[in-house]
Amino acid sequence: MSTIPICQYDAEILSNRQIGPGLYWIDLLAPEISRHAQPGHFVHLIASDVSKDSSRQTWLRHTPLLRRPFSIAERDPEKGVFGLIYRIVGGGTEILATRREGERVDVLGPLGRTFEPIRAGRPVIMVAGGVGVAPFLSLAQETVRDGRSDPAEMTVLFGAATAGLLSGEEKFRQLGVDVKLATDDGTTGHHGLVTDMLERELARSPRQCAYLYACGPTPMMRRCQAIAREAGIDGQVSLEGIMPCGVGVCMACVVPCVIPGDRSSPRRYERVCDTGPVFDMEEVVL
Amino acid sequence: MKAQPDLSVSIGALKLRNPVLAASGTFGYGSEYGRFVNLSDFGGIVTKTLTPEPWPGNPPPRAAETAAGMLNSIGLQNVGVEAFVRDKMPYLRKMDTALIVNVGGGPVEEFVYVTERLSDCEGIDALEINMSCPNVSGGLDFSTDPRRAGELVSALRSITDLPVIAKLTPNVTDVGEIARSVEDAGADAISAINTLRGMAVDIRTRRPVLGAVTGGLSGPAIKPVAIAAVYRIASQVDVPVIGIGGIMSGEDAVEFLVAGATAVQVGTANFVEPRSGASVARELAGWCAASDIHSVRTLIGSMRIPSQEDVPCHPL
Ligand SMILES: Cc1cc2nc3c(=O)[nH]c(=O)nc-3n(C[C@H](O)[C@H](O)[C@H](O)COP(=O)(O)OP(=O)(O)OC[C@H]3O[C@@H](n4cnc5c(N)ncnc54)[C@H](O)[C@@H]3O)c2cc1C
Ligand SMILES: Cc1cc2nc3c(=O)[nH]c(=O)nc-3n(C[C@H](O)[C@H](O)[C@H](O)COP(=O)(O)O)c2cc1C
Ligand code: FES
Repeated sequence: MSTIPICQYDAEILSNRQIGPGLYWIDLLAPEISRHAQPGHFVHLIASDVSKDSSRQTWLRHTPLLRRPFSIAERDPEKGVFGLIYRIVGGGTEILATRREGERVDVLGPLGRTFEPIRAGRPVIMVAGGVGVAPFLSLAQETVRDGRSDPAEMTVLFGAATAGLLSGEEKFRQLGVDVKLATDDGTTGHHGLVTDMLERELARSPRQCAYLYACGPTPMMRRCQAIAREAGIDGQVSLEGIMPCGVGVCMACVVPCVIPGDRSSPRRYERVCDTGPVFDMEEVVL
Repeated sequence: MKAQPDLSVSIGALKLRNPVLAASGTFGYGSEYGRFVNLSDFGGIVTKTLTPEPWPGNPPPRAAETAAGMLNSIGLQNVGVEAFVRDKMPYLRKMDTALIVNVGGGPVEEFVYVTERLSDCEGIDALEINMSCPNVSGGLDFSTDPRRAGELVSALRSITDLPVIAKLTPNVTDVGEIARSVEDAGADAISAINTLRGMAVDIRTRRPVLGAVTGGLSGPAIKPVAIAAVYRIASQVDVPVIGIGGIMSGEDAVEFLVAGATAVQVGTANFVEPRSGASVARELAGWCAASDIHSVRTLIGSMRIPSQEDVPCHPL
């Protein structure tokens, strides 16, 4: 359990805009969360409007019932703002996309374990699949902002189904971070899997990567695990899970874990919301 | 200004500052939500079910949202009674609210082991016996068979001085029969309901959504089932009933009290709104004040059942 305070905010929506097909960016005003958040943290939010001035019963205001988790993609601690990138996949995200500027969203955060920081002299590759790019926007931004490493020592490999879903890509370029794209349909960049691109990069210049980060669909992360193991590179993955509570009480969001380096060690279930969502690459069984 | 209504209630010897408790399995061991929720807003906290040894639980996925509710199949993953006493009790002991520890197990001997270990532990106000977990094999056996339910409660009654609360499942033909049997065996109170057995199917893959195939349904969807169970139990026993199931507001709590509950537990709603305990208690107080009710105790079992003559019946 981390020692960063958890805050609950009725955060004002500063903007909520479409940035791609079914893809949105929302900025929320929540100074305490913005101040304490680190790359890898997520927030747990109520998508629907739960303001008390409606005469609807509590349960009816809370439809869908449970909060939804989203990684913090960007923050501006001076302004007290943080941003999320989200894709519509079901009822909760669909409702979130209808919420307007000036309305309020109930957010809980920052939550979870954060990424191992990037350090100068240790070049890294971040492999992002779809909205899995969110925590890497924040990792790259914070690393550059704090001057902890040279943007030239960071490479982002970013894959999605189609070009329109690669939104956010320009933010890496603005930071001076190299980003290489892949799409399943070939509309831009490498036509195929982002993990094929990872293999190619590692084969071409093995010293370009001393540490690997991955976040995206499970098959992508599983493949990243195998590639990292083969290449003898350490790294971290950021996982998803179905999260009723988001704060470690319900034990629903678990993933099987082993002792790193010993894949035959007895498995134990760790909570993604509390022990994760960031895990050491070799710790989780995907 | 009107006087604040009196919210205090008693469960046998156990005095509660208000009738709103946090339900087992939805509030961890107190310290997690204690980081940002004022625990003294609750009348008490019920901790996650404990087994003799740490328990790994079921394969994921372990939860799914459903219409006005959720399914879970945690399978009692918990730290085990030893680690609980060592690592969790120091925090819980300092908490300014009643502490009810939930006890589980497979065979009777495991319940006995956990109960014995907890009985020497200072700072516990009552034990709640989870006789009704749908997520472990045989977990429901004790509360679906009146004889075995009675045997379990009397085994625990004889080894502890703490109040014993029997937690029942609604997955039976007549919950009143089970309630009578645990009361006869010495239970000090009865809590109901645990989750209802439920299941969801992913039609794309044709697989069950939950890793354990079936799970337990909770949340607002189950409230009417819970109210009916509380009403039935209260009509069959004299011991206090603690109502659980789908409570999200003060008005929900009032509904349970009127149907016969002395106190209530809030479960799933904690996930949605970690300050649910506070808001349910506050809304309950507000409702009482607005209705000129000076003590919540006057609400308990105050249901008015219309007599048959009063019910207008129009033949079709
Ligand atoms: C730590 C964490 C960080 C996340 N960050 C982001 C992010 O930055 N951007 C983003 O778009 N999404 C993110 N997600 C996923 C996001 O939470 C889900 O897409 C969202 O909860 C779906 O809600 P819904 O009501 O729209 O869909 P639902 O109707 O609930 O579900 C639609 C589909 O999504 C699946 N799903 C539901 N909840 C989750 C979940 N928690 N994780 C994975 N799959 C889920 C369901 O199984 C179903 O197949 C993150 C998830 C986690 C756990
Ligand atoms: C995720 C989850 C875990 C639970 N774990 C336990 C448990 O360990 N022991 C127990 O007696 N009840 C457990 N329950 C049942 C609740 O205590 C409660 O009886 C039930 O959820 C109905 O109340 P609700 O609708 O307010 O959630 C659990 C419920 C949920 C949702
Ligand atoms: S979501 Fe409840 S423990 Fe992780």
